[in-house]
Amino acid sequence: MKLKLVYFGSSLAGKSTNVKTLYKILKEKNLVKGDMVVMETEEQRTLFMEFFISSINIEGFELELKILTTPGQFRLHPLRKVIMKGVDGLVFVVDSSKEREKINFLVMRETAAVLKEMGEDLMRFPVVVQYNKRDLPDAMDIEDMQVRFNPWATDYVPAVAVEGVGVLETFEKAIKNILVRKYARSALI
Amino acid sequence: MELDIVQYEIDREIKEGIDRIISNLFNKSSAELVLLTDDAGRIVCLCGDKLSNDYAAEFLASIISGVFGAALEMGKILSMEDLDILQYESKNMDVVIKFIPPRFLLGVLVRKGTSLGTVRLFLREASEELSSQMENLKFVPVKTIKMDVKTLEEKLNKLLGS
Ligand SMILES: Nc1nc2c(ncn2[C@@H]2O[C@H](COP(=O)(O)OP(=O)(O)OP(=O)(O)O)[C@@H](O)[C@H]2O)c(=O)[nH]1
Ligand SMILES: [Mg+2]
Repeated sequence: MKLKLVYFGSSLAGKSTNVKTLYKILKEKNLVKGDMVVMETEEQRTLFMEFFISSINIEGFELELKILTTPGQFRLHPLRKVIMKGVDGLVFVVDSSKEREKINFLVMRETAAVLKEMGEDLMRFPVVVQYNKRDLPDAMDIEDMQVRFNPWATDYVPAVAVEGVGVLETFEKAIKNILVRKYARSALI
Repeated sequence: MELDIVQYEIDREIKEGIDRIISNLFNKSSAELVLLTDDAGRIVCLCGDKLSNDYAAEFLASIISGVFGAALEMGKILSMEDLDILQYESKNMDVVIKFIPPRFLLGVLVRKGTSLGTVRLFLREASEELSSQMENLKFVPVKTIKMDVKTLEEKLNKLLGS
C-alpha cells in the first residue's frame, strides 16, 4: 500500500529539519529505500520539495510511505499545491515561538484552501500537530497552542526537531492516524 | 476500535489492458523507458530496464508528477490551460511527458536520434487508448488484516521504537 505523508507549516517552522532527521533515524533502522531528494536554495530553504521513501512491514503488510515537505515561503505557494496532490496524511509543524503565532495560523488557513481546491477538507484529514522549537525562550504554552492550532483535537507532539526530540513519535502517530482514519470500521466506533 | 486494513490493486483485466498499451508504446517508439504514474506520483506501470532498482522508478514518478504539476501551475499564470506535453532534451537522451486525463502522466525516455515528432504522435495514440481504460479504473481488495488500534500502536512502536 502506497501512502503519501506531507509535512506542512509556516516558513522556518522546522519541516525540513523533521524530515531530514527522520530520514537519518529510519535509515539506521534499515527502513528507507534509496536516498533523500532535496531541492533547496543556497540558504537551505526548501525550494520545491524534499522527499524520501520509507518501507515498513506490519504483519506482512507492506506499507510504502512517501514522506515530503512543502516549501514554506509564500512566494513558493504554487509549488505547495503541487506537493499536496493525492496526500493521505499530514503533519502540521507549528513554530512554538510567540512571534510566529499569526503566521502559523495563516498557513493552516491557506492549507485548508489548497485542499478545498482539490475537493478535500482539511478538518477531516488525518493530521498530527507537532509543536516544534520547545527550546525557544518565547515558546508559547502548549494549552494555548492547543486552542489555536489543533482544531482537529488530534494527537499532538511537543518537539525539538534540531535535537531529534519528538521526530519519530510524530511520524509514528502520523502513520497510525492515516491507517485508523482510512480503515476504521465506522460501525464499531 | 477494530481496523480492517485492506490492500487494493488495480482490477486485473484493466491492468492487463494498460500493460499492453504501454508495452506497445515502448516497442513502437524504441524507448529506453516508459512510465505511467498518477498525478500524486504513484506508479501504475513501468516498461524498460534502464533503472537499477525499483525505488528509482518511485523517485522518478514523484519527480515527474512534481515537475508536471509545477508546469501546470505555470500554465495557469501564463494562460496556457491546454498545456499537456512537457519535453526535456539532453545530449544523449530526451524525455517527453504527456498528461493523460483524468489525472495520469505518461513519460517516455528515448535515445537521441529518435524523432520527437514521432514519439509525440505515438504518445497521442497511446493517450487516447489509455484514457478510456483510466476512466474505468477499478481497484479490488487483494489482502486484508484485522487489528485493533492498540495493537497497531504497539506494532508501530516496536518497529520504529520511538
Ligand atoms: N531552536 C530551534 N530551532 C530549530 C528547531 N527545529 C528547526 N530549527 C531551526 O529552524 C530553522 C529552519 O528550519 P527548517 O527545517 O529549514 O525549516 P522549514 O520549515 O523547512 O523552512 P522552509 O523550507 O523555508 O519553509 C533552521 O535554522 C533550523 O535549525 C528547534 O526545534 N529548535
Ligand atoms: Mg524546508
